[in-house]
Amino acid sequence: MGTPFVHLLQTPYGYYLYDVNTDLIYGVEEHIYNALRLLKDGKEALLSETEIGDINKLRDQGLLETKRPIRMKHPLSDRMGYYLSKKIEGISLQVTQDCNFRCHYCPYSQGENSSTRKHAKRSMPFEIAKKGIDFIQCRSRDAEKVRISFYGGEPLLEFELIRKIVSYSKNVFEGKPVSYNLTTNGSLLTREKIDYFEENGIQLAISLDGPKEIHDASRVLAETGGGTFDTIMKKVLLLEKEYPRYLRNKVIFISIIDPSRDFDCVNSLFFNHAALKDVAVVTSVVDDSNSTEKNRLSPQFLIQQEYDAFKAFATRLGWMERDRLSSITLHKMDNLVSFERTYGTHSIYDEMSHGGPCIIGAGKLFMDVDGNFFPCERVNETNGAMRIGNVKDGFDMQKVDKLLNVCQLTEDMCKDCWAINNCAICPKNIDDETGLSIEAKVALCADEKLRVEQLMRGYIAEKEILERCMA
Amino acid sequence: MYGVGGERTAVYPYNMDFTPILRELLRRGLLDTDVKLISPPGWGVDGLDAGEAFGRPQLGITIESNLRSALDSVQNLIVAPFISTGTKEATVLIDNLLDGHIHLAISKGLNLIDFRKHRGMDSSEISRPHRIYAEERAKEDLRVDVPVVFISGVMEQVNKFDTLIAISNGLTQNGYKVCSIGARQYCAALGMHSFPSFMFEPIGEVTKIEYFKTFLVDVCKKEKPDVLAICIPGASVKFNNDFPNGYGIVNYLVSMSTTPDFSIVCTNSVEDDMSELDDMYLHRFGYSIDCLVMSNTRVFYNHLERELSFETIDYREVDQLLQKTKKPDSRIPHLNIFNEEHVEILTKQIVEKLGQTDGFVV
Ligand code: SF4
Repeated sequence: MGTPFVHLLQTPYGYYLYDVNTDLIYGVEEHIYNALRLLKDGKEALLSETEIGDINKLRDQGLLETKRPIRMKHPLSDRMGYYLSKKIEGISLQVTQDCNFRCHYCPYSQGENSSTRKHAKRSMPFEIAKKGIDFIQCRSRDAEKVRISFYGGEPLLEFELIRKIVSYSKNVFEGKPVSYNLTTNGSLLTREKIDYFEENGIQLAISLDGPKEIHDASRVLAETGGGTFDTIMKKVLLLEKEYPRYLRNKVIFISIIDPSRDFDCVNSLFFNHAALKDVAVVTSVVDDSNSTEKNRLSPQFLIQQEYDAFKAFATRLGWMERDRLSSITLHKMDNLVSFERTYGTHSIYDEMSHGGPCIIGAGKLFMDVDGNFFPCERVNETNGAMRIGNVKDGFDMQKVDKLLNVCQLTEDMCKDCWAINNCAICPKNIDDETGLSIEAKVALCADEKLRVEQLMRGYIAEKEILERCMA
Repeated sequence: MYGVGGERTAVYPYNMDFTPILRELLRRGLLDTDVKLISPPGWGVDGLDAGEAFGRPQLGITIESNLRSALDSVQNLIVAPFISTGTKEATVLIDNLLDGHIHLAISKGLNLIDFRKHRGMDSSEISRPHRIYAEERAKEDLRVDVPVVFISGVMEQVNKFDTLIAISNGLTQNGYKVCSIGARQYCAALGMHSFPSFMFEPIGEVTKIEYFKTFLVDVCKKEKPDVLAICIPGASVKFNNDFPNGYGIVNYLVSMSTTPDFSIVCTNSVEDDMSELDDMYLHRFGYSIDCLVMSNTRVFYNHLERELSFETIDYREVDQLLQKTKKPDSRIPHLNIFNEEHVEILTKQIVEKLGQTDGFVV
């Protein structure tokens, strides 16, 4: 019969099969579920006639196909020459490596043990910035629009440089839609700067980790080690009072959550503070991949998070208002929404890749102060595998191909992996300081499969709740 | 005339869609080769040859990007139509830029020739009485009694307009009077008719078929051409579920209005099983394919991002591809519309095939 390409799931209310080839989840009866389990485990000989008959019925419906990819290869592998010469969609500029904060979870703030670069008093010379802009200008002919981002360190330490870059790029990109954004800790915002950002439609992403006790526990000043919450809130109040439209339309808050802390407390700021009502918030858990300090999860955090997940379902089913959900949960809900959006649309191709890597160099190109290129701003800048070229010599296509085809590191595993349609392992997550690590990738697979399975379970749970309510 | 005999002209914003028009205006002597072609700097084509920038044969004119300085050395400004195939934002941005530049051109006393305003006889003002007329005549047995050539495409951006111009010229040079219906409004600038706007209005499919047939009959009555060449807008087939391409509905409606005597299909894939495509045309639209034109755009679908991208390649690469994939026993020739020898072959084939229709003199 051959082993069908499926994944089996069981919930308190039913038995399910995820059919990888059709990318659909089906409810099945318990005895079929058990029979499929035998089939998957290679114990076909133990199947009864009736079970074989039932399995064949599913086959007749187009399910249980055994087709798997023949080769792992990213669909854009042969097209990168085109993308990197005509379709670069933007550039993030590391205008400085310096920062007036020393956040505890920031890998650049950590001592000699940290695997990535350290904060340093180094800024991007305007000439390098110009070269970066020119570099993408003549390589973005087929990009509908381009994005220019300012990154640090703390980019507001280099406000004048940013002004010069914006003005230069406006001339260079006349006739092409350009969006600008800047990621900042917010402490150096002034009326003059906000006026300029508003006038030029520059989007701000301000880091704010929660109420004072939480924020100040990790986000501290470089010079004194003192908390920064009060300073940032003053700027937020200024935005709220004098630039309310700009605050609502062009500012987002990035909240980095430390899972060892109290979940509800983290959220309370965005719920309770008048100035922060209705602002856009993006949350993520501390990224510990380049950090010496690994995340710890408090039981309290876990319980409150699960309760919030329950509220998320209630919201989806229309039993509760969306605005009563925490931003963390909203973010999770969005993941479920995007899972649903693509549900049933994936196919197994002879040659394919799992998701994860962006279009290396064309999607989120990052340039450091020296003009070196990286796939994005989140990778380890000291890892040579991540340095995909520089503004003088252009791209190193071999490195680009390697990062793009991260799927090939675990080719045999991926070809037989039921999570292939939804897997999102990106090269950044498997950086071992000198290159890409197969071991790190294999270790991540279990988590990734768990994540994908959680999405599927979320999808199933919703159907089950609805079914029970209807009944 | 758009600036010959001492007057200098600038074209802004010069873009890929304008390339076939430019070539034709130059060929007809309606524009001098000292024309200044200006594209906004953000488009990244500054310094490139106006033809080569878009994968077409060299035109010998270099694209510039500084309109302000160009306006000081010209007497005419041609405003080229520009509609972004991607975001609306890009189109709006150019429209806004244009407002400022047009203002400046007028203040400098320049002659403004706005190609965006060119309309054929079917533009909405003209087509309204025509519609009433069509309604009255819809029930009559109307027939297009002129040999018809269809140019359709399996995708968008497959050189249909270049093909229409090439065969119109080829047939005209052979002494035939050609009446052309282009897919775009501004093709009226080349003396062509533009595709009727009622074909995109919510008026019912049967009505569209009848109107279109009436439109064709009227055009032929008025102009008495030897050949009617129709370039069908959009794509004839669905690309995939994410990009259905309008399901080829317009192609179907046109094929119900009249049957072509010669059908050219523009495509961008050499791997296609052409007999399958031919069968599909026969069964869906009621006619076979006589010739395939391989365009200089490649389309690529990234299933991870569910994104479709178009890449323009050099027209000489099309020749190489055709050479590589040559199928000597194929009934349907595969041609490159930017290769002059191929245009001659195509013209000859059309003349031969049309020669089999009543009243067409070879
Ligand atoms: S989870 Fe691991 S094995 Fe599965 S597709 Fe992703 S990378 Fe491959």
